[in-house]
Amino acid sequence: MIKWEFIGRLHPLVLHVPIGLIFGLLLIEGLSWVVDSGTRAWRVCRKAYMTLLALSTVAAAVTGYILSLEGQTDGATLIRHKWLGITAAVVSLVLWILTIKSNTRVQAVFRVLVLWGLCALMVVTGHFGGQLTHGPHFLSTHAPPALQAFLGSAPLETRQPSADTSITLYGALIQPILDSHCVSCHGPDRQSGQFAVHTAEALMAGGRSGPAVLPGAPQDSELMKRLQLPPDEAGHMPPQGKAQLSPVQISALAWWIQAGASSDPGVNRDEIPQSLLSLLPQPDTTGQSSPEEISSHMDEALMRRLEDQQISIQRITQDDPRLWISFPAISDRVTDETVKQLMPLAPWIAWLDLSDTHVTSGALPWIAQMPALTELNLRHTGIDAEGLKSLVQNPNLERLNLSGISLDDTVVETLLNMPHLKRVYLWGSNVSQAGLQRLSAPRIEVITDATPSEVLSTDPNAVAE
Amino acid sequence: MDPLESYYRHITRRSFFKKTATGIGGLALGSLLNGPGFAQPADPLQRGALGAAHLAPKAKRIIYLFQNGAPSQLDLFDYKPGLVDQFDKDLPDSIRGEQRVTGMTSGQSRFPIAPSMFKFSRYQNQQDGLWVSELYPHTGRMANELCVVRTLFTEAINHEPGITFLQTGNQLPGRPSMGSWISYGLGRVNENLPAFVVMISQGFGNMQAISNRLWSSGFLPSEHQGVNFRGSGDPVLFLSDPRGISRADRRRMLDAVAKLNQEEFDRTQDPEILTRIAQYEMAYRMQMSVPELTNIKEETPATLDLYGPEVTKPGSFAYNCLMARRLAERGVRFIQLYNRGWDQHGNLPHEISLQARATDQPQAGLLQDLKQRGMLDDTLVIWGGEFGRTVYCQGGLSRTNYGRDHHPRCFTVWMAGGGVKPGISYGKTDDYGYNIVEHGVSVHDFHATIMHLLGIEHERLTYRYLGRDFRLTDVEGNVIRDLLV
Ligand code: HEC
Repeated sequence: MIKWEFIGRLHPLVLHVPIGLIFGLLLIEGLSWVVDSGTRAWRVCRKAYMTLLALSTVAAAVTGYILSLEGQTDGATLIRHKWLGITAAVVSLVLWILTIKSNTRVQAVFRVLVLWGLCALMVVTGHFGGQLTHGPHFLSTHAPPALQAFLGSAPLETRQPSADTSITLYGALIQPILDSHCVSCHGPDRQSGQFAVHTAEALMAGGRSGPAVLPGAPQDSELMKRLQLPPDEAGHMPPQGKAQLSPVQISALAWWIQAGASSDPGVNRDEIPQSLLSLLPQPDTTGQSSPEEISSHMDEALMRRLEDQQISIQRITQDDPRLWISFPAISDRVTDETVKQLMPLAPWIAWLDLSDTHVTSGALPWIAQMPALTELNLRHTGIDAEGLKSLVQNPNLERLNLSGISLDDTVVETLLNMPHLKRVYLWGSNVSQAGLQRLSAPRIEVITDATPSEVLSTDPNAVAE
Repeated sequence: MDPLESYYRHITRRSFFKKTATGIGGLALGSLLNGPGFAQPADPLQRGALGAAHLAPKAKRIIYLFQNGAPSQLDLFDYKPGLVDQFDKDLPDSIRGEQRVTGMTSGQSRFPIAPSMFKFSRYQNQQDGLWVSELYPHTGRMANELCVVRTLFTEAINHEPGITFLQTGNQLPGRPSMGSWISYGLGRVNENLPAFVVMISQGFGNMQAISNRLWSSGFLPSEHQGVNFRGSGDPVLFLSDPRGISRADRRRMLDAVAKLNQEEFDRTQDPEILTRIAQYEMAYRMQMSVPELTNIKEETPATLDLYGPEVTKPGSFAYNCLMARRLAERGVRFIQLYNRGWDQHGNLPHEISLQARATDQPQAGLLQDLKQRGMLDDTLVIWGGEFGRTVYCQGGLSRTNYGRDHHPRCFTVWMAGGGVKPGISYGKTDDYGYNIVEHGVSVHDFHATIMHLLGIEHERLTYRYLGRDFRLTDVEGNVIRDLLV
């Protein structure tokens, strides 16, 4: 038993036959104007060609129609493709009759005109078909601007998440994910599985198999199930071979559904779990969002050169473009010069560990130019209180390790001036008790050593002694 | 990885090796071999199989002070004052329940209660104080830093399966050790030292066997197995060059061997050959890094004092604690200490006193040292054994002498630093210290929590082997959020 669906799925195979044939036929017709085409061989050849063309066009239309019954796809593009395809089939039959019958000169001219018409029809039909399989912007994306305008489908401005806190969480966190990974197949032009996600309403309306999002129940939501299927399994979304969601993006969707799948405004940034914040626009990452994109901006040759020196450079997390740099393998060879070499990476350095190196205050003006820096470890280095002043320029510095460095009380003022300092390690720094006292309230936590706990009480009825 | 893809990646590597063999010379070889194992990653920032952590790590490294043999929670941390009146009374059947008993006490006609003979004190912490026995005065004074879990439980009742479970997530041998998973997932920070280092110290009294399959990488590529640094002689065996061999000679030898190995790899495509090349290179680099590491002369007397008098004695627990700090400073991800000798079936009071004396000051000193250097915030220290000990006595019982058998249902571990809440205790056991009353923590939960602190989602660090995806926590494990800051 052959299933209907199987016949339908032959469509992509069958449809290429008439496209090939029609160009062959055009060639034959063209040649017949220049060479003597009155012979029987020419006529047989033309008729045979035409018969094949008509048959294959009808076959393409029929298989295409059957495929559309599966309901995998929906939308304006499909409807256009479908009717153009059916028209093409009808026209090809007309042309076939003309070819079999026509012998007068006028009929021949008419026949060639229809042939050109069919050819144009096929190009347009094929274009819509291409949009269905490759997405609406496949052709136009890299086309010259003039052509883009002609194609009438310049790619949508990709919606950039904005840093405005008044926007909806949905708009900032969820829609950008769907826009970049799903809308090409589930958007206004094409609705695979009769499902669209270009607006919150469409998303909540669900698809062929009902609602795709069940607020509060990510594990039961079709959408999450699709995302979490193994990539090589049929039904996994986005289908294998297409750009996949990152784990953080998946957890963002899960979290949003868990939290009620609301697209209302008024969700507070603070309610978003820490781990998802990397998806939101970061103030300090110069516009690019994905780590891959960022890496392509970092100079790869430089990076390899640094790694060859055994400098350890790694990302803080898979989805965070910011860097954690340390020097454990070469700490006794690290000098101010080494820090200077890092400067091309400055926008991305978040954790910098220079402990036990030969760095001096000379490196601090460089470090001051690392805007994303949150954690700086200078333990056992040769810096001094004066040099530290340049660090007040670091807008995001939260943790500063100065333990084992001989300083004095002048450092207190400098530290108080660092706008976001939360923790400072000052063991063995010679800062006076009064200085430490001044520092510790209320924003900054000062860490020197572990204060031994007092004994509060002792077991009265112990057996020992 | 898809085998075909991995084949092509290897092919690209081969061209790299060709270049190094004829061109800039072998020294560049080392830097080509970083990362998870074989393939030169396309993105130079990738580390380990994960490329980078899933979550921003709270702990950048782990020091695991494994107390091999199972320390008695009842004589150290799980204070049960009510038991004094229960001396030599039978443990109620309702408490013992269905618990299977080891062959060592299953023949006993009764299960008499042995209260701890040690005096407990309550040390100030972030809650209403932490009871610690007089065996651990230095550790008690660190109560403000400790996150004490009284309710870890395990399924094993014997040492081998018990340790194996805690180290690999499974009672049967063959799975990768926790440190191997971390090394595999996150890779190295310091190219000159392994990501996973093991050190063993001997204890007093009854010692349980310990073998290198506890730090084996199981089915993971073998470069992720723990490297055992020995306590005496050369810390790493066969590391020094033989007399008369210069470092340049060694280099030439390694280059030649690497070339042969590479040819063999090109022929067979066996990834273990690449591991071998990587290990030769690592050993070569360790020839320089290890002597520097073990040179404790650069430590100040004040620092050495923190660890107590044994610290200068290689192989002691105190020495290993100091080494652990030095390894942590040098970027080693997972530092696994094993301290043997806690298996006190009889004569417990005497033996546990010796064990406690050898560990108390060093471990408290380690915490203090890390704290002072500002390293405690991003170093997770873990202390604990493979199970606990029974409240009932094994063998003869007197007020001042008793023994305790293995007890899987609850035991105490503590953690410090690295993103755990300081100064708290978690979980409650019943009045006998026998059953969990509140907040039981399974070994899988414990592993999941540790991985979480390192920024790894335990469900997403897997390795395909024998047709299925394996992970440290098998199919279980929940992160215990109450323990996290
Ligand atoms: C390359 C095209 C393509 C992309 C990109 C794509 N899908 Fe699909 N999707 C399909 C096709 C085709 C179907 C119908 C076949 C099926 O059900 O598996 C479908 C079906 C679905 C369905 C089932 C609808 C229903 O009710 O049966 C869901 C849910 C879905 N996709 C979600 C997504 C999400 C979420 C994304 C983005 C992360 C996405 N898809 C990206 C092609 C795509």
